[in-house]
Amino acid sequence: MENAKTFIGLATTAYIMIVCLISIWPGVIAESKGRSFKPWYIAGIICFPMALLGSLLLRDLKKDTFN
Amino acid sequence: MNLIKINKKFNTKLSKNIEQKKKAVRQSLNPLLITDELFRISKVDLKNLCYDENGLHSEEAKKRLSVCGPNEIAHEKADPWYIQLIKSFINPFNVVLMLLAVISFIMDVVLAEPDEQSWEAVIIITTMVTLSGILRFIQEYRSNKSAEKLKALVKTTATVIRKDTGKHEIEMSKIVPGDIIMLSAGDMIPADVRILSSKDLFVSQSALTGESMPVEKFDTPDLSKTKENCNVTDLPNMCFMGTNVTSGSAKALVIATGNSTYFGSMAKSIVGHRSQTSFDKGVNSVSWLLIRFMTVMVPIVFIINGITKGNWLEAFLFALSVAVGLTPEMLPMVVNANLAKGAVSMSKRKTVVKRLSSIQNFGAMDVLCTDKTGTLTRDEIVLERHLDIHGNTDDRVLRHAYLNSYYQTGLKNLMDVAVLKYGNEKGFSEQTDKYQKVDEIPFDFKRRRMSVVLQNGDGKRQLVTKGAVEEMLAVCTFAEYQGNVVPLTENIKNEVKEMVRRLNEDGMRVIAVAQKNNIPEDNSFGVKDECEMVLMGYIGFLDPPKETASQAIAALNEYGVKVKILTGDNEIVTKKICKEVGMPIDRIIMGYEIESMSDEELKIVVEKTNIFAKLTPEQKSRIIKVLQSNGHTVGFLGDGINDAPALKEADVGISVDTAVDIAKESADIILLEKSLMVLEEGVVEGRKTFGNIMKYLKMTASSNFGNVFSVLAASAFLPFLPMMPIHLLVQNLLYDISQTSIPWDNMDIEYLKVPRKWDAASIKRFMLWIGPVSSVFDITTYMLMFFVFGANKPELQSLFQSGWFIEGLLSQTLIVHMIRTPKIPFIQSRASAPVLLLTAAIMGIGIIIPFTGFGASIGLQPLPMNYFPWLAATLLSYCLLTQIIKAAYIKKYNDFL
Repeated sequence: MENAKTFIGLATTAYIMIVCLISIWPGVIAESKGRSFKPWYIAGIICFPMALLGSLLLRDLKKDTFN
Repeated sequence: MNLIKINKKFNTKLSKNIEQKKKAVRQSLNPLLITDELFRISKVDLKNLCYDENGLHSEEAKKRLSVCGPNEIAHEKADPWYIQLIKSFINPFNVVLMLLAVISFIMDVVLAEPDEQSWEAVIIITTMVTLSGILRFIQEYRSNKSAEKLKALVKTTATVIRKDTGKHEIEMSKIVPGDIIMLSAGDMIPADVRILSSKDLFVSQSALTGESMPVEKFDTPDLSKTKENCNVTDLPNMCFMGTNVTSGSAKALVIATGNSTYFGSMAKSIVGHRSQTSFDKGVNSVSWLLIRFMTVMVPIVFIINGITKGNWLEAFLFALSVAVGLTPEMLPMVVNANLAKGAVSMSKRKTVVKRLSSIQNFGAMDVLCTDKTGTLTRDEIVLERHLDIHGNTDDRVLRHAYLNSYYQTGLKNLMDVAVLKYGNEKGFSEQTDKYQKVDEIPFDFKRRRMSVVLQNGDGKRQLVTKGAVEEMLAVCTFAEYQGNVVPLTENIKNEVKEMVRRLNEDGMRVIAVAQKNNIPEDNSFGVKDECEMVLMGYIGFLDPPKETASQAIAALNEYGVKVKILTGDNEIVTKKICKEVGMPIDRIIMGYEIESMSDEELKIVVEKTNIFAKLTPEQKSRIIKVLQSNGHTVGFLGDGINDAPALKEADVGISVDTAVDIAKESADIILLEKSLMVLEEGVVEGRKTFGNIMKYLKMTASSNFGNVFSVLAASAFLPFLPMMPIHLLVQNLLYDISQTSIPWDNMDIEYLKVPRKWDAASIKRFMLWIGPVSSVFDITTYMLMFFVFGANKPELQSLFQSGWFIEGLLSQTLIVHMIRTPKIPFIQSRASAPVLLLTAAIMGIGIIIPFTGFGASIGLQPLPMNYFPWLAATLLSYCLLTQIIKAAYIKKYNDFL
């Protein structure tokens, strides 16, 4: 039981930290396409795969502006 | 010691031994006494001052020097080695660590049972402090030594009259009370002096009073008009050490030297008065941020561990070790060793760094403003032409110019040297026997001309003036035109201007020469006498650019430093020089145009303009201020008296060895070699220094931030401490050792190409992004040791702790390589050999320790071999995740270090 508590505690901390770190990518990709960083970062924290895919499929607003 | 006391002692009490006299000198250093004496001496009648018009005899001066000591201010000298050593240890981090060492000593030695006494923590903390202090001392001592050696080559001199050797230049440090000195524009006043005779003498006392306007000083002032409660600097017949002559000339008697001067008495408050740069402030703010971090974290760690583990003493010791771990004790060492190393490498290129932090400003500089004459151009001005108004060679013009240069005693101008050299070659030196000097009206930067009044054997008097063409036209009403003296009409003026323009286009600096015979029988002349003169013609000088000027400008541009020329010279000559040094001319702005602009307008203009001509010293200084307010870090390269305000205003004031005293005194950096390529090297050195400091700051801030998570997670979820206090201390010591090599690391070439400025926000965001990466792998290591290797009971904590000891040390050491470059470490960018070797050695030692007797003595144990593949996978994943986050960081901020 004691070990389970340790496992849950450490695993949860590690998971949260990894998610918080890798969610930076959807945010950065979205920002490079002219969107705001924060909403995409938060979306990454909630569901990383979806946010990453979404950010990759986003239309590049910066390119549109130049055209 | 002041002159009257000195005279009395030397004249009447010669039997007193030297030691007694030295004691008297020391006793007279009270600032209040010094001020009182200066007031008293200013009121003493000149004949009661017991001085000799012909100056002291050299032997007498020697004796006085042995009693009074050299004419130097004690506070300007480097501290003796033992003071430097003590200062190397005094910083907030060492204070914190020593406090922790004392607590450890009380807990582990004083209060512990005799068989449980442990000295390890005290020894390790003391070793850290010693290491940081000694390394800092060695670098700073080396830097001071090389700076002193070079400073000895930079000589500031004064003109002294000695009985046996006559008028000659000596080093300022050899001036003694009783010496008679000559002062002229551009001179630093070498000591406290009483004026004996003066001519339009204006002195800038800003170093003492902060007042930027020069004040006039006289030999025979009406002291009754001096206010009763006036400041000593208001005394009109006294000049003070540290001030400088802006115009005019004077003969003066030295009253006090060295620490006995008014400047010496105030030196503590004046020397080092320069405000902190944004870099200094930034490093301090990061230091305090990290200390605050520690003070918040330590109680939290203590309470959580106390509650979860129940052993409050152990929790307290662990919290103490965390405090040691979070203290960036190497920060002062890394910052100072980096700056000192930069100064040492500049000294190898014959460059004196007077202010250590200016090395960093050199790297941050993105605009270099430079004077033209003597900096971009060689200081070998050659007289090329001597012409009448129509442009024909005319020896009469040359003769008048020669007499003017020969008899003037004011500003020692390169052009006068060129006139005299050329005149001597032409045999004009014999002419001087025919004339006698009656008076002179010295040069100043407002009038930009100088005059001498001469009398020939027949008693005929003549005023001979030479100076800038515009200013000369303003005082001439006649001209020698086609062999006759005719009124100077607008047509003739236009002809003159056209001729001067043509000469300027050939790159020539033109000076007009004029004279007048109808002058009063007076023996004292002033500026008002420079009127109704007869314009004779011009002399033209060539001032070729330095060979390295174009190369240096191109190199600076390549390194992102824009070069702007700020000159008092006219725009045509400036244009010609710019063409020769390959400087594109975006736009030229004249001094009078700037005068009518508001600061807001000037802010826009300075960005679009790279050449500013016909500037006054104040305008140069204003341009620098405006550039700074636009967010630029501005350097200024100058050598003249008119450059001094700009040199002080700039973030980096750079001067050359041949500059006037006040320019060298105002500069942060002095180039002893003529080559300007050293500027590029200085920029690169500054950026390297800055980069290496930023590496350490970002590494420490992020790794401390990450450690906070790791320690909190361990404290909250583990049934025992993740590491014993002694393990944390050993790990921290090894990590510190690996970081001592950072000042010797190299920087990527791309980093060096862009000006680098302090950016506090970048440190904070770097910490937030990179810090948590190491925590992720600390936590996975906890899980690995706890669940895979079964170290899940307090009896097995040694195995657990050994596992984290190695992983923690290796990941912290590896981060040096990950963070030092935005590129892929080891593949695209490799650290310098000292960094590679030291980090590899520390990683090796870290792996071996648990297998050694020392490891066993501090409670570590050998790890099973199957731990190492896990370790390798952990470190590989750590590098990979760091690289991913690094790439995202660079993509978002377009910046890394």
